[in-house]
Amino acid sequence: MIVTLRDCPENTKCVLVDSDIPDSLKNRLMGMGWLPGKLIEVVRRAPMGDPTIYLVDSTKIFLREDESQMIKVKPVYPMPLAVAEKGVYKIVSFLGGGPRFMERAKNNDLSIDNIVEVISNLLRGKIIVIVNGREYTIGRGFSERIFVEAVK
Amino acid sequence: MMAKKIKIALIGNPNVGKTALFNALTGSHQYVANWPGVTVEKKTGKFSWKDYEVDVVDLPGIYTLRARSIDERVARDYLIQERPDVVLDVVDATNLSRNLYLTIQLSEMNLKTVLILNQMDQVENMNIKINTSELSKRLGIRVVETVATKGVDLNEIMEAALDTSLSVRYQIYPEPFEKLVKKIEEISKDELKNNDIPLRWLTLSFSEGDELAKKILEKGGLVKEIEKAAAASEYQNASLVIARSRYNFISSTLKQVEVRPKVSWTVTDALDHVFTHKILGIPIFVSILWMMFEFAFSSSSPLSDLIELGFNVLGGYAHAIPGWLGSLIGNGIISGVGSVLVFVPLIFFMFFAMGILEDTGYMSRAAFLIDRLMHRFKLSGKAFIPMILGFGCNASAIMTTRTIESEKERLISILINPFISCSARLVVYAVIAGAFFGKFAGLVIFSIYMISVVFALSMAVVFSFLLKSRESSPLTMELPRYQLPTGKGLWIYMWSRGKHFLKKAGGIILGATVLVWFLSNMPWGTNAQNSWAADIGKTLAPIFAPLHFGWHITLALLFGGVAKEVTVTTLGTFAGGNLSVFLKTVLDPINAYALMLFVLIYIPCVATQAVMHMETGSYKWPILSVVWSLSSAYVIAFLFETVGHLVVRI
Ligand SMILES: Nc1nc2c(ncn2[C@@H]2O[C@H](COP(=O)(O)OP(=O)(O)OP(=O)(O)O)[C@@H](O)[C@H]2O)c(=O)[nH]1
Ligand SMILES: [Mg+2]
Repeated sequence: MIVTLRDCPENTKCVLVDSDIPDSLKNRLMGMGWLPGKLIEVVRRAPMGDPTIYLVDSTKIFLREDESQMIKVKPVYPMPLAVAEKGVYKIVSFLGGGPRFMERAKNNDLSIDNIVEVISNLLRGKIIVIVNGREYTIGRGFSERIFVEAVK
Repeated sequence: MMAKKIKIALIGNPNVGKTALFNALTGSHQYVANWPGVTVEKKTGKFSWKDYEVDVVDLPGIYTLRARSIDERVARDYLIQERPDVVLDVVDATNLSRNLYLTIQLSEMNLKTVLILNQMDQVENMNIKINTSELSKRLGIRVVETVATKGVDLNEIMEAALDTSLSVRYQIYPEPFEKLVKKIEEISKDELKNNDIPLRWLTLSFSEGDELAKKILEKGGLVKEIEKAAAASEYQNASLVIARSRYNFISSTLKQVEVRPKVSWTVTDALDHVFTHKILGIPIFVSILWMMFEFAFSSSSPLSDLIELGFNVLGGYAHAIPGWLGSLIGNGIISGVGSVLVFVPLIFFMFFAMGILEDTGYMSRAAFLIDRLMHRFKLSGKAFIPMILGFGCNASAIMTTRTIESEKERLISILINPFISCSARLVVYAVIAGAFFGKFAGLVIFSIYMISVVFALSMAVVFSFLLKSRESSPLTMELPRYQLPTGKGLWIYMWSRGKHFLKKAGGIILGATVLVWFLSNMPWGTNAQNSWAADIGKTLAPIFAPLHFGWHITLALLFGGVAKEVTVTTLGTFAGGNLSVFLKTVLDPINAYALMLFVLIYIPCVATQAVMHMETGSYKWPILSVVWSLSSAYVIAFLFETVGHLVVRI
């Protein structure tokens, strides 16, 4: 699914898609190596949620929400459930995972190697999934920490 | 034999080590720090080599030749207008794929380029292998490896600079596009043959949508024809094609010359994990600032005490000299200027701490952490760097606003900078707080700093309302690698900034103090109460009567407009050797705090006004700044006193 860079939570890796950002910003980004096809890693969001540090090649730069919102990308696997479009996935890892997190994961039938089907993901608010034949609603913050891969 | 003259320019991405190289070449001590955008104007230097006389020009860093902010324009315009004989294209050798982008653009400008692979020590550390001779062959330019911070081999660089055996001739764009470029060059050739503009650069930049290229072509009346030619091809908007071709060329080149180990978790990543942490990041930032002050105060105080003791002894001797000379030396110079010199260690340690902040690479992290907050005040993270630097000196901090793209945001940053409390004012607070607040002095001074930041940010909101500045410019800022500051680097940093203060003390501060001493002894032989100084003070004193500032303070504030330290030296000339006792006779603690607030806000010093004029190109803004700050200082000090005296009855 094509999303904006803003939608990608920390630790997402994604590929830059040609974007319709203003010429001035585009040029600057190109000078820093941001070309369509380049792999971008979302490294860190600032304490107040904005701006965000991105890594391309070996250069870390930070951009604000306003700019990130204009940049279109395609996440690559393993990706957080938060940016997964409708479809069937396999859970490959959890990020973090304190006891409370694991507890919640268990309550939602989510564990490594489980298969989840995303029913609806509007990139805002909750995500609806089916696990083991049952429907669950998953919060956004939670979904950012579940990494999945496509099932062939 | 006549020396042969040659002009060399240093160009490259920000923060790669151009200024470090400049210093190594010319033996100068220009400002080097570990964040992008340190150099904002062109700096020239000289050295001689064999029978050559070499002019070197250090330029601000740029990512591409498409300049947007003022510092970038300085670099680009220099290349176009001055046409240096050789450009040393300085690159961070650990990050070639990005840095070579500019190299390609330089070759398109038809400039004789030597590639300087700087930071080779880091290349080694990171286990990257670069085949330099192969790189040189593929690019068609000479390549020299350097570690600029450890000195350079002049022979190697100069031989490369004078070598004419290699030449660049890569055609990296798709064939049909190259044809279009040729055609555009053909169209513009005749019209533009008189001005020395490189055609290939012009046509490529025009195709990228560059404003300057467009302007040049418009002047020649060529745009219509060129657009027609472009429309006939499939390349109406070629910027992507151009960028992609350049990167394809770079990556195919690097495949042959560079071997990088698989990236693992680096020290920088680990440190960033802590310093930019969601919860810890901001508390760490605040503690770092606090530690900076704490460090400067506590490590300088023994030295300051020692100096003070020295001046007391000297003062004793001076007063033993009979007549006016004894008075001039004792009251004017030692009690006056001495009261400021006591704080030389404080200022130096302050700069030492700032040097650490700037050279480790933390600066851009701080900008990252605080950007959101700045956004709320209609500023960007870039505007934050001049603010931090303002703690050192407002005049030089204002220069760094050149990296801000939006003209209005830049103006606002310039106007609020004087409200950031510089090190000169620190001297004033140290004297006053030391006299009145005893062991709470440190806390009192820190509170003034907090007020300074809050006030500056609030003024940013006011100014952006008045100037109708709607938004801050897009922000793309690079986070450099962390590094351990070197002792030598820190020493140079501290010395070159602290030196200013010493110069000021020996120049303008001394001059103003002697003048005050003179006025306070005229007509000859009177006591201070009936002197000309008192006349001036008393004439103006009614203005400050609502603030309960007597004529001494009034006079001190008047002369303090020249340089803030003079506020202290002026009072020193009346103090007869013991400033804190004297201060207690003319102020109470509430007055004293109000005076600190007044000194914080009122009037940017002369040097700052001059820089404001230079950077805005008009007298309007420095004048506005003076009027604005004077009136706000008055209002705030008045409010503080009124409320203060209501609450605490002294
Ligand atoms: N390890 C290492 N560090 C270097 C070398 N050259 C420069 N540096 C460091 O890199 C940082 C940037 O150096 P500057 O000379 O200020 O860079 P600049 O290219 O002038 O930067 P701008 O003026 O901002 O464009 C400083 O912290 C230097 O100490 C080098 O050869 N090796
Ligand atoms: Mg520099």
